[in-house]
Amino acid sequence: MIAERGSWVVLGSIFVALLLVAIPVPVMWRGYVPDWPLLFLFYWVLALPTRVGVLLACVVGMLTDLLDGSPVGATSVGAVLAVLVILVSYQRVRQFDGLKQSLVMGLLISLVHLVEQRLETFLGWQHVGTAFLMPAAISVLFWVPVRNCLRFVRRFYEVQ
Amino acid sequence: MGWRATLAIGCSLLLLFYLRDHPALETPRQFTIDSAALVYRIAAAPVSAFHSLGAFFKSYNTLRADNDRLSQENLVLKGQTQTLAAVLAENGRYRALLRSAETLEREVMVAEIIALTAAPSRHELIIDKGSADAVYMGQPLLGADGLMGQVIQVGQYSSHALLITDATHAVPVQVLRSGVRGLAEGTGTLNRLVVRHIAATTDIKEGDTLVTSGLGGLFPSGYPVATVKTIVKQPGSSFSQVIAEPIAHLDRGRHVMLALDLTPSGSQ
Repeated sequence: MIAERGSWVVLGSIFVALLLVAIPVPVMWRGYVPDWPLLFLFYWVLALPTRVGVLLACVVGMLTDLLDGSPVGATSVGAVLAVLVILVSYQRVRQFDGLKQSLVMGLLISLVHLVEQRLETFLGWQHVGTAFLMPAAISVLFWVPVRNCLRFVRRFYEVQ
Repeated sequence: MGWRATLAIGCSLLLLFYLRDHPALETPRQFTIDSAALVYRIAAAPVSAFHSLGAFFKSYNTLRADNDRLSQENLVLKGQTQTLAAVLAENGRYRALLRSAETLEREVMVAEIIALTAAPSRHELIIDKGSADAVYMGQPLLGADGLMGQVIQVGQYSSHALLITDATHAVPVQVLRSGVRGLAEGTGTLNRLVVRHIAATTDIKEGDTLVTSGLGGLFPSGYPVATVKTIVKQPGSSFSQVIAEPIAHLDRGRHVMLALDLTPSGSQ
């Protein structure tokens, strides 16, 4: 998964993403928090496709589930599928402009949540309406800032 | 790439469908619950530091006003307790006469809320007491005003509790005034419970208080749950739908109580 130098930068940024998820927000805003761990994960896959891949996706998914208190593994299935899509098409996605990339990321995050929602419904959880897709829509707005921040971090620590 | 993805998905599905409640994984499960609570604590640290700073600089006057108000409240409560003791004794005698089980004296344990979990579709709290404090699965969670929920996952030093408004939660209730029984289901909205399948001719009115009925054996009887807001009667349907608002302030406060010792004492 990650063997060369700079691994701690990737893992550290994922930890920061998990902290961002855990920041307390007022109840009415809870549905509008962007999906930080997935955004961060997708950036690293896009930037370092030879080093970061499905195994990290699986781990990130499980950590997100643990934090949510949701059944462990529900997010990781979707995350692995989404990362596979990026791994297959990263050369093309890299050429996209900001808007197009954001939309692709939004689509992939919705894919993750759709799979998660399906699996959780099998296990007896209930999702009311389509509110579970809201974080994906909000994440579209945050892709470009996240990408720019992490690009800066990556260059600063010379992670390759 | 292919075999790794297969392995990752396989592991996830195994965890999801086979190992989720497996007893062999109890220790790692407790560890992960406690670690998640730690992450929430770290993330909330700046906010709680800000709050404690505010409390530190609370003015002398505010503190005095608080103190005055609290001692007054205390006096009133003490007065009420005096009569309560007499009433309890009387009640006990009547129950003995009727040969019914004695209502239980309940102890509570106070816990602090660490966080609301991040999943927006879910109404779940993390509290700072776990199996080390004898918290158990299904333990009722009480607020100052009424029932809040129940414990669903127990770590060693923290646990998760599901609120009564979660879409997967239901609690057996009865109308305090008339004794009509029903099942108050969560809707996924924080100020809304639904009691379905109440016969259209039932004696239930807006403003009625719903209390736990004690049926099902999980929640002790008599705790206030919700106030009836609206009663939806559909022409042609023999059931009406009752919409109620939880009495406990589910989105406010830092502390909750865990009810202890629910085994009924006393004679048959």
